[in-house]
Amino acid sequence: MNYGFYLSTAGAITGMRRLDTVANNLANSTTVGFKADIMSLTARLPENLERGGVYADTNAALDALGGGTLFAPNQIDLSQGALRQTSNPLDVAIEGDGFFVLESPATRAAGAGSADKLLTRAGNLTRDTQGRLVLATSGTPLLGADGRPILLSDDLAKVRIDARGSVFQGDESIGQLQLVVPTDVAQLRKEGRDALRLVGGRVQNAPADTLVRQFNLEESTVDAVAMLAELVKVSRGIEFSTRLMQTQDQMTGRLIDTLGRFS
Amino acid sequence: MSYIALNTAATGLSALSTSLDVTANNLANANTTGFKSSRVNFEDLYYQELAQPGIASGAATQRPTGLYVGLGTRAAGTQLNFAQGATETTNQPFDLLIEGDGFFEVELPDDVSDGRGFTRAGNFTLNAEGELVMANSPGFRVRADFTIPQEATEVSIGTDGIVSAMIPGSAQPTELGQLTLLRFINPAGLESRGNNIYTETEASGEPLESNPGEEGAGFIRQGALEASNVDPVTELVTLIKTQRVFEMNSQVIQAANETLKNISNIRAF
Repeated sequence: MNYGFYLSTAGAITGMRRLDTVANNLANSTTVGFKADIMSLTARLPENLERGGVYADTNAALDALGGGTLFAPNQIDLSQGALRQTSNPLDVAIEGDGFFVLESPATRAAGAGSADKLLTRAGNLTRDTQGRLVLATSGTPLLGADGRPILLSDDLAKVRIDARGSVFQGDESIGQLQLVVPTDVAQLRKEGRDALRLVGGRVQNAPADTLVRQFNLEESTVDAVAMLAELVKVSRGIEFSTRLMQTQDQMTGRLIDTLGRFS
Repeated sequence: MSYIALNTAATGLSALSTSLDVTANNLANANTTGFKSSRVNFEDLYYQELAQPGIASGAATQRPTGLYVGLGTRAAGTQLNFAQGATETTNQPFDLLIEGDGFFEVELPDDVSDGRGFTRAGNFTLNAEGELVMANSPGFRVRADFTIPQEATEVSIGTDGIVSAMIPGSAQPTELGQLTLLRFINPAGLESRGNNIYTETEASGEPLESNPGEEGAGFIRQGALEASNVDPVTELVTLIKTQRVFEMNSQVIQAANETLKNISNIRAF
């Protein structure tokens, strides 16, 4: 088959994956604390060059052509989302760099020293049946600075959360929300249910200018305009690639038709 | 495949239509005494791993991070907003407003949540037995240790919940009893039962009883009602956002559909 056919196929396949990512971003444009996914592509080298020129008998013209396109790893757009004011005392938003830490089976077993961290920027919290401060969506407890969930007491004093993430009930301090930044954000990966998993990375305490805002929620960072532009670009890109595949298929067909005809 | 995009956009549409339903209910109750607005909490769904971090993407290069595609969103639940509503002065003796946190307790049928219901809608009236009842359709009794005698006049309810009235034959007002208020550690976890009634759940915690004005339970104001706390501006903004994001998700479905059509047309006959 024609070499270009495979290049066009690579274009169509990567285009479809990009479309999937656009779909996920747009579906989450109202998810609190959601961070958009950025999918990028890299140019691919022809296989001979990719493997370090192992094949001696390749066509130099082909090597100069390039090998189509390949997915680059996805990145997460960690920019700050807009803050939206609410009237719920258990709504908190992070302003600046930092993440809340969620309880996971690993942290439950190993305590605060666990290497496996589940992080989140979602701050729509509630109290669960055991009195713990949890995410209102998935019900996962948030960890305090001591690596344990924060327990709200039963005496009905008002909950106050200050800019440093200290949680008070009435005048009594009942805990401190753990606020961390990963040393390498490239090791974050989306876990779903508002969580990001830090794969084998280390965390440090969030910088002093990171503030916790009570009575606020951080909106999704999905930029609808950019996403719709991406949607147009991606769907047209797929159309071009498939059109080229058609053309090349027709060329091959004509070749068979013309050369293969016995007169 | 673009099938993922189709399904992902569909999860967006379905979660957004839940949000539309909740907004519709909030707006419909913009005029309901003691109504508390709700909101929908969204969360992202799982991510499908297409390539692992660390695998070779060429002879010399390795992927530092993986390739993941998210599968959409989900309406994880609704949450009540218990902010105080505006005060409407009515001057009716049995219209009561709670200024602060707290609920009146009403008697539900025994098989519903142990017969304990809670409300902030203080538009009460008296029944034939002189008991305080809710003025809306089921007319549940307010849990109280007193009744109001038929001959009583000038019933007054103090900010501390003490009910007194003038009884013929006595020059001084007679104290009839006291209304108490109940508070919850997490009112957002209460269950809405309709008819302005909430019931206790494990997430709300147990109700704690106190006299009005004590332990932060709020004061009672006679002759006033708490208006719905639905903020029409916020609701309309939510409505606009929901509708536009709905449209954008439908655009994705169209794009995915076009893509699949293009692909199925690659092979021309």
